[in-house]
Amino acid sequence: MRLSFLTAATFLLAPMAAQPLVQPLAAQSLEEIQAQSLDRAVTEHTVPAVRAFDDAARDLVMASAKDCRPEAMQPAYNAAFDAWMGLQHLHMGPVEKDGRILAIAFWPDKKGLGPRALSRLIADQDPIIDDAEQFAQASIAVRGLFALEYMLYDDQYDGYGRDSYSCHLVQAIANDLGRMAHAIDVEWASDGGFKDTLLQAAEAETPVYLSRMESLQALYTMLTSSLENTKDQRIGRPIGSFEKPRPARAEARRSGRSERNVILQLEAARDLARKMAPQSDAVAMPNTEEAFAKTIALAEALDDPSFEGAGDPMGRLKIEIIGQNIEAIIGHLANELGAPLGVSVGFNAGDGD
Amino acid sequence: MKRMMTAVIAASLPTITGAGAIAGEAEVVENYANIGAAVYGDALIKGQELSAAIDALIASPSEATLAAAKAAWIEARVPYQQSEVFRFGNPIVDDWEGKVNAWPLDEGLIDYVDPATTGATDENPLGGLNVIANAAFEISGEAVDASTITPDLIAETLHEADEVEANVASGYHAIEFLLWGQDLNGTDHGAGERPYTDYAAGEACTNGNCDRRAQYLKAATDLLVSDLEFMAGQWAEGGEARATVLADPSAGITAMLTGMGSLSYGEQAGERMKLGVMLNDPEEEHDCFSDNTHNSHFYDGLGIHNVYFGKYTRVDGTQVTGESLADLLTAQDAGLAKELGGALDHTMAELGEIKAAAESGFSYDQMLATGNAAGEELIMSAVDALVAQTREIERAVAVLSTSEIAVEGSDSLDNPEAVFE
Repeated sequence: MRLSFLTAATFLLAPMAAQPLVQPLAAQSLEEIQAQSLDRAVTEHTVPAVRAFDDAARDLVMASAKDCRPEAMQPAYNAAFDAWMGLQHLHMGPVEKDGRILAIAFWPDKKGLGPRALSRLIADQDPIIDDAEQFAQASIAVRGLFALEYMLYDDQYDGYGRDSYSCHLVQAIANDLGRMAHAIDVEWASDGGFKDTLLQAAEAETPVYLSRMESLQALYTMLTSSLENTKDQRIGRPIGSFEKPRPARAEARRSGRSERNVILQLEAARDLARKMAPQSDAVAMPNTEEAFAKTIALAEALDDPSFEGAGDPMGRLKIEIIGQNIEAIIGHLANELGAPLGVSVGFNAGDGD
Repeated sequence: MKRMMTAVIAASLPTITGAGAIAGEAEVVENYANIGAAVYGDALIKGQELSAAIDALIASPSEATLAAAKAAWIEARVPYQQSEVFRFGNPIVDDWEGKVNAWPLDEGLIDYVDPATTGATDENPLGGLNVIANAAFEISGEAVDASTITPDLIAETLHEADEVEANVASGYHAIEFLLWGQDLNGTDHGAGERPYTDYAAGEACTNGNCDRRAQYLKAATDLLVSDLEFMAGQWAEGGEARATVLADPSAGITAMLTGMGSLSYGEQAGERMKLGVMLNDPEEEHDCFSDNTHNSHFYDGLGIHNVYFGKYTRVDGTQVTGESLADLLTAQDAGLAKELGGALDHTMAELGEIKAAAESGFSYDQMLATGNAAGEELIMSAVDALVAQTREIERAVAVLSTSEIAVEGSDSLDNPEAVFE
């Protein structure tokens, strides 16, 4: 991904200097609004997100223990991926720690390292899968949701039986996901956890953010950069260029989740935006709401689960338009959410190429 | 389809002096442009030295001439890596950068490789093309005449062929591959071991097509030098990059901070360092053929340090100094200025530890090995330091940025629904 200079330059000035565009409810200072916004976003958006992923990953572990074969595991796999889509935009704190976000979802895999590493592991019958602690150190190419997707959905891997090496590998990947999901939940949602790092800002035990405005700005950065990521990667990779569309580069196409992931990501971003909205009434950001509704409707209307349609001009255009609409959402967010809250986009993991 | 929306958020600064703009912005930006001119000028000087060393290698291949060319390459990387902080924030650099420093590459496009580790893949059917061994081939259905390997062929036809980013045909890393060859040691100690006889004439030639290999190396080096000439010119008196930052000092300050923050976090901490550790993959080493990655990271960090403190030490030892971001920030918020300076110093210490370990024999690819706790600790400590300095840079942005906020907007096509009807 090429850095968009404009995006990178989208910065805010001294928080004290930013003038809220929408006059807040009488007698509420910008600081009070920021504190309320932060509180709602953290407790009503982030905490449920880490809880949901922990629960879904635990179900996946149990499903793998009961029957490790693809058909039996696929429902729990999809539920876990759904829950991850509600969390993956929060690229911060326990999600970012120890590179967990990469270990849970290593994508895009531009050099095809996943299948290469999985095939080698299976050919060698590598005993690393028998020791959870060791497996946690293994290459992210053989861990997480995308390694599991190869095992459960790719013809090259999905023909294994109970008690085979592949079966134990699948269980090891599920267990590793369960371990990480639980660690994120505990480190985020417990007393003194990352939620308090965000909420208490400078007063937190180990401060990362020096004011509530900084905490809020971090969440706002996650919101917009996740949308940019969806546009540039989930949409941008499969559509490629007009001359050279790349449907085989769609995210999670083997499990037919490419379209679903875009929709779930948009829904997660919308929920975060709503929780952050300066007034509890969603009317505070009418253009944003309209743009989200329209974009999600366009994605739902695609009816192209794996983005195979990217291969023909009309299908490709439909997908491309979703990306353009996402860009519109980002613009509306800046005006209707960022500006009234006195926050803007900071540096994010998508900077760089 | 894109249009710019200048967002409605106007910026007023916390007034310290009562002046409309921060005193000294223009001087800070001028010094930044001077550093830009010096660092790209140095990259060019070292590029020309590399070119001379490569001429000598091709004229008379030997252990000594190959070693001299490799040494020249290592030296050339020192100023270039310090220039990377100019990339993000200056579109003129970012648009050009892919020609000279693209990475990672599917080197099988260029020359022979170990078939077990590299070659054509689903993502890149040209990953095993081997231009050096093939004078004629097809790219995206079109016949290509590669009977003579020229800078033009490399730049226009081979580089990013088939729109695949990994088809890196030009720049430092293509030259690195042609000097060192593939590093087949995995996460064990050792770099690529290309024999000098890969450039030998007649029967002494190893691995075939030595004349074409020399032709490729020469063409890629000429191309690098001309690309560096271009960028050095952009920052010299009268150059466009220089004029752009001088014309609007406030925007120039934002460009400086954008460059520092984007390189620190998304690029260096994320893409170049963390991902390699998580994959345990020596191919994810930035300078994977030469095992020079520790220096690559170190001088990237130093470039960021240079821009903040407004000081650059040239390859001849002279210094470029002047008004700095540190001065500007100190005048506004002395506490933050100290925190940011301290964070950058801390990063340099961490990157210095990686460099020291690598230079004493614990090479970067070893650090990436599965279960190598010491290596992981070294790299992740530097990653953490880069992430921490990014937060301080964001705080500096909030204090120093005076320009209006520009956000990317979209007109979303006039009537996108039409397609769905």
